[in-house]
Amino acid sequence: MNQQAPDEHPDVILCPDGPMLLRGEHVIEDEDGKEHSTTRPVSAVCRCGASGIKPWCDGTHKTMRKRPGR
Amino acid sequence: MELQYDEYGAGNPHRLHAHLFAKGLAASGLDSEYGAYLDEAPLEVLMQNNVMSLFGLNRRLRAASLGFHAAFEATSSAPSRKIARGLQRLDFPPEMVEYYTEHVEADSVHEQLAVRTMCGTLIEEEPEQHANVWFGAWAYLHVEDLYGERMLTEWSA
Ligand code: FES
Repeated sequence: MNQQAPDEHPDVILCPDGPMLLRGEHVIEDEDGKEHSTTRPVSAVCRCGASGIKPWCDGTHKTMRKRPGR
Repeated sequence: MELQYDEYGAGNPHRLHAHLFAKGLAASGLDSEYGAYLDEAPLEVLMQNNVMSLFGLNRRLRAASLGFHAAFEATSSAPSRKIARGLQRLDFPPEMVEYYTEHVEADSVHEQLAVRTMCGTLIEEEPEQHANVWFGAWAYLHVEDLYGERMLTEWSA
């Protein structure tokens, strides 16, 4: 494994109470087994489950209750 | 940089965001020339653009510029979804609707990048800029609010 210097850009970023950002090209398989290719330099994958354009984030997570303790 | 590349269609000229908007205007029978409706634009729209340029053109206001931009991106995807639905309901051509559906997805990413990788990095490197980032964000919300008020007043007149 390549050792990554900590100041390098990570490929996957988990946003608190928000989506997972993916850098670069990826293929995502959704709950129904359908595949979706990323089309952007960075893509946001929905983690809250409420997006209207899954598997991508559409910002709906902002209207949801925050996890307790946050 | 990644954000800007996305605005430029990630290398695909047909996905260039300015181009998508121009295509939408043309398909709706509107003039897609730059500045075509300048004289008809409400002054609140011009004010938004001037504030944005003021921040962008002055190095001492660079943090405000990032805050302005982040506030814009962070309040864009949900309204874009509503605008797309409204345009669909009013039978606007798919090209115009597409501009807004593209922004539902794109701005959900841009929001995170603008807030985290742009504003977040700046504040980490130059903590004294913290207040200026907020100044820019509030300035954006203020001018956007003025525009919203103006439109709502006109529509209900
Ligand atoms: S994480 Fe953003 S809509 Fe689900």
